Amino acid sequence: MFSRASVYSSGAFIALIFGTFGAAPLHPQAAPASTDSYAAKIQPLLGKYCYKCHGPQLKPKADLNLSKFSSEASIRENRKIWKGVLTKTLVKEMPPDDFQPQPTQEERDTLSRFIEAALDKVDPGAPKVAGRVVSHRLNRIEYKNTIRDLLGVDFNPFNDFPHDDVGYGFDNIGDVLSMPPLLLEKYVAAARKIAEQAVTGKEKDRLIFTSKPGGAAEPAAGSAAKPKTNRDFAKDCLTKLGTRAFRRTIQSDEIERLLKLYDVGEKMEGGDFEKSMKLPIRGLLISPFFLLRVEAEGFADTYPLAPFELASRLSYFLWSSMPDDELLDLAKTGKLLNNAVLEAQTLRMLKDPKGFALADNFTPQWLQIRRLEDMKFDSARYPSADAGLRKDMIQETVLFFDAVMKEDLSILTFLDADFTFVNEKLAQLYGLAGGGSFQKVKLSDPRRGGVLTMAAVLAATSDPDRTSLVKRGKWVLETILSTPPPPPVPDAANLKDDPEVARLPLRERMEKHRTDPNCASCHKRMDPIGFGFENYDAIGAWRDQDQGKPVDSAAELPDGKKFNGPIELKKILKEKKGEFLEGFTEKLLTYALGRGVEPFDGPVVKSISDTVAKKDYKFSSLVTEIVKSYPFMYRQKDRGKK
Amino acid sequence: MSRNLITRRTMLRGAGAAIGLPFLEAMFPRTLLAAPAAKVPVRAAFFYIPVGMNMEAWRPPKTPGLPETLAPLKAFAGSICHITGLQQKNAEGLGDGAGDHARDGAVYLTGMHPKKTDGKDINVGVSVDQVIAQQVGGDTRFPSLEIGTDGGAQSGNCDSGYSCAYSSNISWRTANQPNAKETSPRNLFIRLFGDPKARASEAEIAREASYTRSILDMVNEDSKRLRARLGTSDQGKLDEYLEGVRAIEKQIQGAEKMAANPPPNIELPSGAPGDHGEHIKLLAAILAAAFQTDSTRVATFMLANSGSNKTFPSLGISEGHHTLSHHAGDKNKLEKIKKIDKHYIELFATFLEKLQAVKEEKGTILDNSMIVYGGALSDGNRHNHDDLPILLAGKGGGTVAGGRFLKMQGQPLNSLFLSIMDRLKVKVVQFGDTAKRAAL
Repeated sequence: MFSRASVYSSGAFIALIFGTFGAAPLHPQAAPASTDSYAAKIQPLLGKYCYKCHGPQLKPKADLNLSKFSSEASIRENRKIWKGVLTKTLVKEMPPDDFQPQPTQEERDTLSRFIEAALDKVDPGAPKVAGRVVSHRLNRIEYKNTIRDLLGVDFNPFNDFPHDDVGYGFDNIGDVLSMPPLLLEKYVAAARKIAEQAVTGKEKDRLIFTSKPGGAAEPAAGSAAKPKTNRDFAKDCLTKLGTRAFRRTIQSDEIERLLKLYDVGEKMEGGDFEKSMKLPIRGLLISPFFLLRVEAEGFADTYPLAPFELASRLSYFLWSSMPDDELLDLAKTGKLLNNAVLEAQTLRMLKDPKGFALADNFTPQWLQIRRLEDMKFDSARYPSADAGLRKDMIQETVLFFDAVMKEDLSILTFLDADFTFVNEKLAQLYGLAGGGSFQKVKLSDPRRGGVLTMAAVLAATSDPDRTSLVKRGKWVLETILSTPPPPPVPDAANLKDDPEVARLPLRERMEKHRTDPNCASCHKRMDPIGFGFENYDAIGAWRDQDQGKPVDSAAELPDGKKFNGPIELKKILKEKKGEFLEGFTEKLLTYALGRGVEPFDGPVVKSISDTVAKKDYKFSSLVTEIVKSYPFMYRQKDRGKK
Repeated sequence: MSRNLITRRTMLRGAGAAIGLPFLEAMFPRTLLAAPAAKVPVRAAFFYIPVGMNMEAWRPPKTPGLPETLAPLKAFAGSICHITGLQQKNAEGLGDGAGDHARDGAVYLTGMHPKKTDGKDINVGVSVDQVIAQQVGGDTRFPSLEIGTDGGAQSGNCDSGYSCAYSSNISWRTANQPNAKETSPRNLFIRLFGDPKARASEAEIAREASYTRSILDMVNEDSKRLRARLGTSDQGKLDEYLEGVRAIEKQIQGAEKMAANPPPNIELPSGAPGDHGEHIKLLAAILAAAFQTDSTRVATFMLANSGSNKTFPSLGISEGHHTLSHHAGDKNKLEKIKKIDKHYIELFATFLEKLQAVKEEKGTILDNSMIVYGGALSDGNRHNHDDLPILLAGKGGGTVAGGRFLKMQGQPLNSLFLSIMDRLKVKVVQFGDTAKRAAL
């Protein structure tokens, strides 16, 4: 009786069977055998220059064995790895400077062109992989929002609940959202407090007591129908409330269990109808069906999500909260599985005020600036950087993101824009006119605009008492270009902090990174970018001088492009549209799915990015493409282990 | 939350209908189960400090006496073993590359090598406090307490491809389930002793216990229904959930052991303490009270998360702790690290003071405890995981002689844990990478 289908109303079940099984191949076909020139052109180059470290040996460096690839298609299937190889080939990061012989420029070109071409193609016959998302425990913000939408209660779990662990840069990853006993204790206590408030709250009649004794639903006097008991009314209420709480049609045995709680409550509360409902509400809030976003296991290896499950994925992606009635209705009838309906719903939800949750939760994690909340800057040097200002910095990025989303601007706006949001403190930091609370302001000075030159980013990538070229360079590589440098070699820090070196001027100090080939390969990518932002101090204010000397912000990138100062550097970075879009897509997909993006997701990331680029990089097109994508709409069966 | 769900009186009132108890346990008369331990309990706690130490100032000096960093512990010197030379081999890269800070935290109490992952298939090992809790934790209302000052990492990757779960937890219930820690002194107090300003009437308390039982009954049924629909990894999530449900059921059953009132020497903290040092002091005082009331016998305390880059304005230090730890021999930086190390030891001393102040049947609580202090990183500049800075405070109920300097060159830290577990009568053959016991 516990089959997957029994969960859902029969309408949805029919839609599940007939509406979607044909929509995508459940048994992906194997890619055709390779007939490309990989073996002839590429393998010999790799053999000569790469396999010595990244070959079939027991422990290849960086855990990367390039000898296991055998075709052009295998490059596409392992997009992330090959994007790394491409970058390192282009900027001459690999092979390391001390490797002999070095490849000729012609050989580098052959390799990089081949990889580029391979990555650029989309294989129509490529196998589709949905990936697997583990049942996801509501994180703190999702819990807060869900309680708000379910019961109209404003409950703040941030002071009580233990932190949510982070994986892949985000705090909504199913794999790491564990449920320790401490948290369950908190849930029990919170449920009590919330139920108490819910039954007396302003929205109780709309959200909870949808039918009650003495209300309009009561049959008129003299009608033949048997008068309804309080328990009947409770059943009506709990059927509606339970369906919303569990985000699917509640089953009769579940309602019976809730009614048992109602009976206990009624006895204890001396028959008071509203107070008696506190207990079943508490039960709902502690039920695993409420606390976990359950996605049922299917029979096939890969299967489409049931409509209710899709509704939850959508609402937790865009609202960090439960689906509303409109979504639940569309799920119940199965209409949500229709692509046009799904797209229309996505657009509706983005425009809804609740859509602010996406800006609020995604932005600070994407930009890695949440750490600002706990950073303490040297108060002698940066007296203004108190908790208030640091919070405002984060708020600016959120409001900016929200504007891009609500006005449906191009995603490239993140790299440069002629507007931002400031309040009095930030206006002061930026040297702009303006005061009071946050407002949108036009920017005419090219030294600001876009996330690269926002105080939050510049401050979060600094040390408490000074700027950090390396951290800023690394941030740009990770967040904007999506080509993160590998972690430093184990004793890298020794050179960095050699007291002899420490006495040198900044530029000479950084030049030292180039003397050790272990460091040079990465630092020649990070350090120049860091120099470009030296005109912004550790909390992001503009400076022409650093400790009495003019700031030196000119540098040369590994590909030979030279720039002088942040305006020119930003211009170069703005040209990297493809890299930025793909990286951003990957981050938003991670957040949307609540799982890490794996190499097998490469083709999906690529095809989403391609479509978005064709649609003028519009923000909404990215979101709708993600929502309609295979990994968002499908789920893979647990393939064992454990 | 406003008050405890369960108190001593709850149990007296509502002991009749036990729900969801394992069959065997339910067959025993409650009085037998709940009989107070015949002997004074022996407690264990594990304090963790991140990013290593200034080892020169930590090692025993050539002249007799305490090293500079340990000077604040002078009053307790007779109860302390100062141990050098221990190592946690599994915190080394072993082919996994960078990430020494994540591994420092993850390996410290587990002794196992963590799987390098940003989220999927997190795996390290059960930590020593949890091995203890699983065997002796049943005698107290809380099998163990997990305490710390930092919440989780806020975003980004925590350390070179390791999920933040590794850097923000040292207590692991199973190989893939970290125990989140309580960071709010106020919440910790209320969890243990209730909110003194919101004491419930007897009737309310009895009703509450009955309510909670009915609710847990319902969710147990829901869980059964759910299990049938899940894949194995999802079932793992559900198991975690059910473990929490059982822990709450047990708290109801074990209510007779709850202290109705906190010990007189401690008050409900008002709000979030601003200063890191104050924060530690408050949490430590409540932990001492938890030991005093026998609310738990085992605890972990993360003084800061792995790789912490905290600044110490009260010490005049504006650079981050982690940044400083890459000192490269710079005297100025080493001096500052020493200051931080000593500051942490001063805070640790306030905890020992509390334990020392309470007399029990056999000496003081400190005499009846084994408190480990240290980490799995030695010199932050070298990122080495041998020559670890470790203290053992307390006399383990007369099983450990204090006032000694112990050289344990090349022995695994896990061998010390085994010796501690033996003294707690925990049955364990092997822990981490060893089955050998350290001679204490």
